[in-house]
Amino acid sequence: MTSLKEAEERGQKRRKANFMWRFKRNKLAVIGFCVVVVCLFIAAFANFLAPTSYDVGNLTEARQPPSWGHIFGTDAVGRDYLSRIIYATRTSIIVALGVQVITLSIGISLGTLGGYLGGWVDQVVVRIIEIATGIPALLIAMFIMGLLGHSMWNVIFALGISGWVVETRITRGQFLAFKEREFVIAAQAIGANRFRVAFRHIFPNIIPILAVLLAFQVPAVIFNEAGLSFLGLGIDEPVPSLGKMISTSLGYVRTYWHMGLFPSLMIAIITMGFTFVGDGLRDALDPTMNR
Amino acid sequence: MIRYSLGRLLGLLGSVLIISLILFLAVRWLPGTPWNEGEIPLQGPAKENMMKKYGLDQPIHVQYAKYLWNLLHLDLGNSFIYKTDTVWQTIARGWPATAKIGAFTLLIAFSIGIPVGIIAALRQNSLLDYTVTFLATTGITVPNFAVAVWLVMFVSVKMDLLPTQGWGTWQHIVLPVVAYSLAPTSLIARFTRVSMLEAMRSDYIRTARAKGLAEPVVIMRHVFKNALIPIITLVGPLIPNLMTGSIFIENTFGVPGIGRHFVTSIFDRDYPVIMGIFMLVAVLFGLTYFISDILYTWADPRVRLTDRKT
Repeated sequence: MTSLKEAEERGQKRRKANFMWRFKRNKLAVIGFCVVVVCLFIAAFANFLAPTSYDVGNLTEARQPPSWGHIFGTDAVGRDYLSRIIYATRTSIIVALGVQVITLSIGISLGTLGGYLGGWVDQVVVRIIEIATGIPALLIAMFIMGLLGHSMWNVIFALGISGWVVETRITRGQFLAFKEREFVIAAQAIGANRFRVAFRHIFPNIIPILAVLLAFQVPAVIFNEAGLSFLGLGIDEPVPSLGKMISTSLGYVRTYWHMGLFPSLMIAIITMGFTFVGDGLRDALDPTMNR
Repeated sequence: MIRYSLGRLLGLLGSVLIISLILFLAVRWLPGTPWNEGEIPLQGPAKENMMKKYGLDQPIHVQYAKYLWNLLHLDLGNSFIYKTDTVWQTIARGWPATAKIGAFTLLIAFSIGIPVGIIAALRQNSLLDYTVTFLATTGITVPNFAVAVWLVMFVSVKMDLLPTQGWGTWQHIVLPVVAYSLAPTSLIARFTRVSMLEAMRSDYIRTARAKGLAEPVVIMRHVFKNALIPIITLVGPLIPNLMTGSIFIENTFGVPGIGRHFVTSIFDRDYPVIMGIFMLVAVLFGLTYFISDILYTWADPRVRLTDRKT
């Protein structure tokens, strides 16, 4: 028995090493990973990193271009732009992760129900997916924001409630595929109950795919959060959001270039970082796919 | 095939019905009324009259039944805010601008995306291929409103070539289309590339080469035709997406399109317009999914459309 266990452990180790090797070989993925780590660091320690708080303004210093005092300049009411961007990064990351919690919970439960139980339950799940696909998620999110009013938690709720279709579809598809595999049938044959088969035997196999999905969904959510705020349907002042900073800057685009450039660059860097990690993860997990 | 189509269309009708019910209830949940009461609250009898005039005093199931009945006659009702407009007229005012940008974007996305994807696939692992892949990934990822801001900054303000905002002349179309087409072009290029590579590795291509076909024939007739199949599934949903427009792009460049009408209708609590746009989009999406599934069977005869299995 021990030898079998050892062999299994060795196999796992090798797979892990293989995975790491393939991931590291992809330069963009490694760069993306570093960007993601830096972003998470900024988000976690925003209050230590930012020179000032995000809501401290000094009207005598309004709309200053970048200088040594304010590296990224100041905004229309004299708040330090670097601090605003650091806190806005935190907003983006919190929203992105919060939304993932909701979409993954809904997606995994619905997808598991439909894919594993099958039958009329699956019919219902398929119907729900079909209805939800019928309308662009962003329109629903905008609508919910109109309903609830503007705060960060409402943004998380709105984007979460409207954005679980992909998660559900992928979980369901994976369960359908794994349900017929030998190891699942073997587990059922030795009398494991449905819950155990679904979560101990099948689910661990789905985690990698969900991880890839997560890496791609995070930038999508960041995009949508910024989009909502950009339209004035997102997070209210004084909490900073990159989307809102970009939309405000449009009014000053002829005179104050720094107000648009820095937040738009920041959001581009964050979303690209996550996407590169997603690409790298996918390729490392599935070497048959060619990039 | 016909049975399948009928089933699908019936299913679509069912979905639209459910969507309409959920929306109808949700729209009336929105706090506030369509009469801008934030500034001047309506007094009792005046408000009653207004509610009566627009049929909002009736029980909600009666209102919904009426809405459905009108919907059956393709009547989406009148706008509450632009009181002389039917919802169709409101949509008709926004749609041309949106559709114009959407159509140009679609044109660019295909005419650049597909050739670039093919070339990158043919030169796999070359510097060109890496550049294309990198640019395409960037293009997909960077939000279009960020791109829009950069374009405004450099092309409009720095170089003073094109107007920053507005609508009417051809100059106003260029920047929105460029900003908007970046993502779909990149997406199509990347997808074409992967799809081509996959097709190039298959056995029938080896056979085609082995029997001595000229390389261009192999690429265009055998590889590309098969690579096209997965592209169809991608393009289907892309079309209504583009034709309904990007709200961000319209907002940035001051394009009087449908997206802006949607945003204002939410702010104004213009119930019929919100409903009308939602219903139209839902039908449009449903139809394109359906059509792209049908096209799929045409491109790949191995796929048979039977029962619904997503």
